[in-house]
Amino acid sequence: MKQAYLLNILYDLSLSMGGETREQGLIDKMLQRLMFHTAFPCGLFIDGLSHDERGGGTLLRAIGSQRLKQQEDRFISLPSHLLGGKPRLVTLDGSEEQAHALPSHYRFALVLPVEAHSLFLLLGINPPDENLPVDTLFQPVLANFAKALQLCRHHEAYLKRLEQDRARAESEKRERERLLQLILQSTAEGILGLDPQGCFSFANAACLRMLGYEDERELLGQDACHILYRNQALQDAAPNGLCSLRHGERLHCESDLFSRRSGECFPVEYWIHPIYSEGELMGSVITFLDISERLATQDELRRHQQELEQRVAERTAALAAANKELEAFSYSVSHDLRAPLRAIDGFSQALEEDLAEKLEPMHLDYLRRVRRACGRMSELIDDLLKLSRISRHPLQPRAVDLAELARDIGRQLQENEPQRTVSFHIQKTLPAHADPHLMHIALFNLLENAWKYTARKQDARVEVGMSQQQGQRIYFVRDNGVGFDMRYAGKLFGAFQRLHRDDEFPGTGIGLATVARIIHSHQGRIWAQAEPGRGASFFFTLAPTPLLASPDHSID
Amino acid sequence: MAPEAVQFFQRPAQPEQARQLTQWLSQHSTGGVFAWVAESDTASIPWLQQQCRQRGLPLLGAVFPELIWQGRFRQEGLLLLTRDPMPAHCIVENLHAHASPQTVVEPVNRLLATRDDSKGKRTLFLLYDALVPTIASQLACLYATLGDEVRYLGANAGSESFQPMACLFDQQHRYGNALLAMLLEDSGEALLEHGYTAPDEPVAATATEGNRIISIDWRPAFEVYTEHVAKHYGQRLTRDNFYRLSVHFPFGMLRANGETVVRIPVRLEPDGSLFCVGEVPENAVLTLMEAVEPDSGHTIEALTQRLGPMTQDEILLHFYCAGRRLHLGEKAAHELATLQRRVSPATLAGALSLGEIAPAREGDYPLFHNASLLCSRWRTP
Repeated sequence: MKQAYLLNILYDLSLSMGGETREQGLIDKMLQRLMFHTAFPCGLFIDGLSHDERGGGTLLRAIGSQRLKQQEDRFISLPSHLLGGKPRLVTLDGSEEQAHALPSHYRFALVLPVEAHSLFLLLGINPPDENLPVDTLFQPVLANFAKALQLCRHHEAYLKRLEQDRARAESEKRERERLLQLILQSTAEGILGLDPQGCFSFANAACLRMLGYEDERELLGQDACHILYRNQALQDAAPNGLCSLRHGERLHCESDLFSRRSGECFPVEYWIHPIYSEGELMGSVITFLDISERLATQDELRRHQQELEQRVAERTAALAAANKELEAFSYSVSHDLRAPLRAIDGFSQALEEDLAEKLEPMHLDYLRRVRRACGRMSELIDDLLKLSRISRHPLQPRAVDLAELARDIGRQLQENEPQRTVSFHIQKTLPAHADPHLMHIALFNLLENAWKYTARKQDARVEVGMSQQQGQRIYFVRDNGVGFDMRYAGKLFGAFQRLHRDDEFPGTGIGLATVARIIHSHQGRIWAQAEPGRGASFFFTLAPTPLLASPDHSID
Repeated sequence: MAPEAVQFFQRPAQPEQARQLTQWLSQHSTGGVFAWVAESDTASIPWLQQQCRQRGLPLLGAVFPELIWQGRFRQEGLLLLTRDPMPAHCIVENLHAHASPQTVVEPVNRLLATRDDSKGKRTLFLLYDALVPTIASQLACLYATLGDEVRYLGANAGSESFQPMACLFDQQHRYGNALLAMLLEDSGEALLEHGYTAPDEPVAATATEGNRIISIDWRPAFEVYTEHVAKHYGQRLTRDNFYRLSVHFPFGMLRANGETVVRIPVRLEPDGSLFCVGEVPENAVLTLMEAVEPDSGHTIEALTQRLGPMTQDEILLHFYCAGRRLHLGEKAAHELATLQRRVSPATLAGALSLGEIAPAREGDYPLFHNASLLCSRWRTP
């Protein structure tokens, strides 16, 4: 057999391998070419050879024998003389069928091992040309085949991984799309997609429901302006923003009218979001809400508000009138009560002085009680007058340091009762914008209370300061006096309300009412925290922005 | 006297013959009919189809360049054979150049699932339109799937001029670019011989495309072909005499057991590539064949030795390659007559074919051949 012919066989086998990238294709191609050249009608490729007593391997491919083909991907046992070694031609003696899977009618086997683990086994009835050097011819090709097989397996494993990755990515993408669809279809907002020409490319369930369509396909490809403004009246109206969506601009329209399929119009609020891809306008997404209910609610609210404002105005006017009347009454009562009171006190004093020796001690005590009652009543009238004057005092706010006021008041209290030792702790500065005169009254009342209710304390302590909460100044006056039960805190700022008996701590019950009125006149708030036996703290705020000096801010 | 199961009608269009034909059909009202039609008599196909439809007779047929009957080539006529029951069969269409060779496997494999009443191995009988370009690849696919479950036998039908024609038919339609596959029970081994020999100077088909050899040893195919013809046979081939001479200098694809598969170049392309009847795989080891001598009786001798003795009631299905006849010229008729004489008293019935399908040896796997004589007992005794 000519060398050129043998080289051509090798050339054919080598090139046949080169064109295959898949294991099955490579094995098939190699088997078919080997079978063609050797004229053996049956070809097997066996992998995972075991050379132990079990002897055999997995039959990956069988061509030419249906009986062996049915054994594909299974382990088949092989006689030891067909396992491993070098390429060789073996004459079969028929015993192979009994002990092993090989059909008996084959007389010859061409054993072509592929490294130690695999082999091609060609079976035939007739031998190949006796000049075919089977022991040397196929060796280099089989070595190359082993490498090609390995490459194909790597390649397929890589492809499989790629395929799995792709399948996973596609599955995730489908899931995302499904979720997106669910979201789009579940949302109460109408959402529609438009192509660059302004025609429908998508419509969600809410959009279909609001526009009166049953199937998205009825809208796809339709001109959006024509559908949304199908009502003739809307079409005749001035061009609106929606019809300019082809320009790819972002737009928010708070109120417009869309048409339902029936031609009925309904109010909407809508947003247009253009979609760009690599700088090119791909279309737009429009989201819209049917605002019929919102508008109805707003109308209703507006009507209620107007009614309320009307009612408030009426009541405010009535209240202002009543207040004015009450103040006038209060002032005149206070003022007018003084004259008879002075008469009672004066004549009682005259009686006491003139009849002191004639009257029984009991009667003298009666007169003294009358006079004390007059004195008490005079104080009440004084306080009422003060309260009344505060109410009538026009507000004149300006920058004022409450710390300075507090220190003046502290000194004054100390001078009035020099025998007492009270420790004042007043923050260095307490800036405020308020009416200094009124704030002096308010602070005087608070500090006087603190002074009074710490009278029984050995280490009386009064603190005046300020803290900041959420940008707002909160001023406080704190003492360590008798305190009070917070259950009665609601009564604190009412006129003539007292939490202590008069014989314990004298007072008229007007002071805190006066303080509250002053703080309210500054649009502030006042509140207290206390605990019996552990002192009390009074907190107040003032208007966050400087108040204008105006009669409007006088105390009503 | 030919067996009842086969009949030849020289002039089916003539009233007398038509009458005989309808009478013959009436006598075979069960089973089915196989019809080989000479290329010059395709006009009789619609009439035949109608006759079979009227009788509810299944019909399968093919058009060949000429028919073979009683040891002679017949330029016209109609050869009918019957089988009862009609074998399982299928027609696979659209086997154009870009169709996967795997296309034929599934429908043919389905045939094997049909009921098997035969005692022996069944024969897959394949009739191809000769213009199907991937027959050899399809055979490889079929063998990879079916293996030795069946025997393989087949031939190519069509026009000797290789002009496209719908050369396959049943009782309803005609088909081109198709395969007619039948599963015969009780038919004989397919025996094939060509007698061509190969000198020891192989070359490699370094670029091929289906039936076309583009380059040999990395040079234009025609250039190398002419050099070898001149060197071995002293003939100067040119583009002008190519069609007259190429049939005498076919290629052979070498196999390591010393056999060769013949490929006859039938067309020379403007780019110097050679178009053959049958695929030439890329990298195939080729040799320039020495065609059979006109008076050599070796082919017939080898064939009849393998056939063994035959009896009077046997029909020997025979396909004789049209390329071989072109090579042998008038001596082909002599060879055919010799064959008939050697197989007598059996009836030789068949056609001039455009390619033959069979294993080269018993137990071998099927290949697509040119220049061959193919015989098979229509039914085993």
